[in-house]
Amino acid sequence: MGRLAKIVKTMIEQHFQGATAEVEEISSGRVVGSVIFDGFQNMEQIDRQTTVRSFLRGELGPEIQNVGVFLMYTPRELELMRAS
Amino acid sequence: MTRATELFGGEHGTTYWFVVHYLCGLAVECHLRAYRRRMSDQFDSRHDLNDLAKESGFFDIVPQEQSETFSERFALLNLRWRSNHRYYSESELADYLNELKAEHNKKGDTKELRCRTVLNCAFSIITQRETKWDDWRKL
Repeated sequence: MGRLAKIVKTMIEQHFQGATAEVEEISSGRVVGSVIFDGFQNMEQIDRQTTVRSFLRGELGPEIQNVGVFLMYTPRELELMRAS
Repeated sequence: MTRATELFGGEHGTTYWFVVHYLCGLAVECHLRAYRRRMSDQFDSRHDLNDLAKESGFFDIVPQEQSETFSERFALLNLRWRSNHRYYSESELADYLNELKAEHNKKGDTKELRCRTVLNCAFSIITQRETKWDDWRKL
């Protein structure tokens, strides 16, 4: 796991208590991944994106430019997807 | 995508909403497979959109300023569309979407709203890549 990927994973998991982040670096140098968090319940996907990205923007500063596609789900949604 | 749009906008209204739903995800899967083919000759029988997107280099070309919007649409489609839905009856698909609370708090025809959401998501994803495909072909 690259430096930024480690940082992003740690930041998300520490800030969003109980969240699990899977983060990887892709060829463009950006980090992409997913966040599984029970606190996303009753939140629209766009609000989840805004919440996590706003937090990361505040922490990372200009390095937010290297944060790419992230998929945000609740544990229940992940369970349903896997069962389907 | 053309067939999905015709079905949704045609005389049948939302009668075939579940077909529209399935075709939208299938169109994205096919699109990603086309790009993956550029990266590898080996066929991958998995249907997971997220895996296909990563393997095709799809996420590399999303402009940074569109990451948030793109992530939202891709995540939604990936959540609502699963390849196994091809084996689902209409009611089984409705149950799955109900479990996800898809459009549960929005006013209007639920079937229509669900169709619109997956159509918009699929169009966003495919249109983005079509631009890049054209650029790539000119190289």
